[in-house]
Amino acid sequence: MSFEDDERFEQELRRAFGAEDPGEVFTQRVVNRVTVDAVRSVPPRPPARAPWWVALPFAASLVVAVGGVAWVQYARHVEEGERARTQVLTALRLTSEKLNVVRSAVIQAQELR
Amino acid sequence: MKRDSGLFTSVFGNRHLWTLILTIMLVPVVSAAGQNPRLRMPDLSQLASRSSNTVDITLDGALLSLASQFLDGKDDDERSVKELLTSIKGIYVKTFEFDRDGGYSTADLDAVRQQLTTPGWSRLIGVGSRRDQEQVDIYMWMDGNKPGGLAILAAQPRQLVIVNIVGAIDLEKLRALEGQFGVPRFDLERRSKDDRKRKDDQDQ
Repeated sequence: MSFEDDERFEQELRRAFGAEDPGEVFTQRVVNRVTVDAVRSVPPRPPARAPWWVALPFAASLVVAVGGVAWVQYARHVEEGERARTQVLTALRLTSEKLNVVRSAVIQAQELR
Repeated sequence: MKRDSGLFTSVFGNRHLWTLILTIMLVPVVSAAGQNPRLRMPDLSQLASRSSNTVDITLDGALLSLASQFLDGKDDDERSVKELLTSIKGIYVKTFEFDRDGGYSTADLDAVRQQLTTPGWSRLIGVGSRRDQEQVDIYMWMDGNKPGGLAILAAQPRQLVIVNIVGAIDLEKLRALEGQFGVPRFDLERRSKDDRKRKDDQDQ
């Protein structure tokens, strides 16, 4: 290889490694790419809430269950109350009946004197 | 300090002293338990098995209060019952009805009669009806000068009734209840008037 060849090779190398303006188009593509990446790096949004009416069957079931328990308790309370009422009336009627037996016997004894 | 310890030991370590203290504390409790208008109903399950119809009513504080809530305050009869219940603390009734005479013996009632001889109880009256072969005994438990309990033993050949009511009882109000619930009054009173009229007619 001659000296001239070396010099030419060196010049070609310098040209190859030299700074070159990529042009407006390239610059715009890079800017666009950076913007897209920035948008992509935004944290994901939380999943959308379920609509309110999805909870409706659960709420209705809860209301029915609570209402049912309350109704059963009330019915039991009424049943016990009516039973107690009947027992009171029976017991006092019976007591009154026996007191009247005694009273009548006393009156009869007084009248026969 | 040492003297305090000795005092502590002498007071709290004296077994005789503790026995005396406990005895003094327990005497009123035991005597109060003995003097109670609530009768201990004996086990009458044998009678129940022989009887054709049995009524067993036990109503105390909470149930009486509940029953009172279910009595109709607008109805005159039930209102009078409601008023009576305000002073009653307990109602205990046992009745036995038998298909034949002699379904029970007087010994069956001994346990009840024995309780009615304890202090506090006194026999108010006892009557016998020849026509119905019924013997009715009424006992009152007095709380000082006020009635605190009632017991009724009514025995017929085919029926036995034990009633125990705890509380301040107005006998006249209680007696007046009969007939209000559609139960006919015992007709001895009417019969006695008929007898008197017949006697008057004979005299004339």
